[in-house]
Amino acid sequence: MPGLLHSGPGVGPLAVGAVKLLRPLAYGLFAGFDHLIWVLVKVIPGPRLMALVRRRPWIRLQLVLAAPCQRHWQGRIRWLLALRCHRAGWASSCLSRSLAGRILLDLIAAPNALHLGMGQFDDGRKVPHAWLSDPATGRLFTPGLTPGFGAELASF
Amino acid sequence: MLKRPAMPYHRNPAVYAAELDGEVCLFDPVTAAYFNLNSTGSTIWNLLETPLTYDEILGVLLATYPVEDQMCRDQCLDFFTQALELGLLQLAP
Repeated sequence: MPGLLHSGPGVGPLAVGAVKLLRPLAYGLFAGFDHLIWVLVKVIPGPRLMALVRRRPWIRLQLVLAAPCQRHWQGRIRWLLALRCHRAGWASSCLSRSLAGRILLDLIAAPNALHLGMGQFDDGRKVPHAWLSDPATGRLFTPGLTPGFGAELASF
Repeated sequence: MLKRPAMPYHRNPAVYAAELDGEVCLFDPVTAAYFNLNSTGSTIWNLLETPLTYDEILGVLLATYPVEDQMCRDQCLDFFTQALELGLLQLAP
């Protein structure tokens, strides 16, 4: 998994120190963004939220990046999402993390698909679940359904 | 009481559905609402693959399942009333 920032040969101790500081900073910013999305998901009425998810108005701010640069940033976002999904607790949900990831991926024009489905716990309880994937490779950005314990309903 | 029991009903085509553990789960993309149908609701949903009237559905359910007539009517009516209110089912044109 590529890190947020890389230290390589010829990089001085100051730069290495900066990298060590920037990783938690980037994670902190992303966690804050995730919390914000979580609040918006709670506040915005369902029909309006769905309209936003479909229209993706943030695409107007999309950056045009060269393919290698886009892949590089996609790797960084993937790292952030993996870490956030691993550590998320209070004021975060699968939907808020997936939407936060989708907005960042949309901003660098990286293809992504938001999936909505119903997951099932061992005790039979059913819970709505959202996850994000790369439609080109099928690789998941955020954890999907456990095979045999859920059903996908829609993807956007 | 349903307003038009003799008119055919059909599923709202905009609603996404999937079967999980023998029961139907629905997602309405307009309202962003999820629904888990119980076994009765799932059976009715599956029967409505083609438009059917309320009376036809009732007839199929009574012929298929060993269930009391009144109980079947009550549950069926309850499902139709809620599903129509939520926009999951529609009157066929």
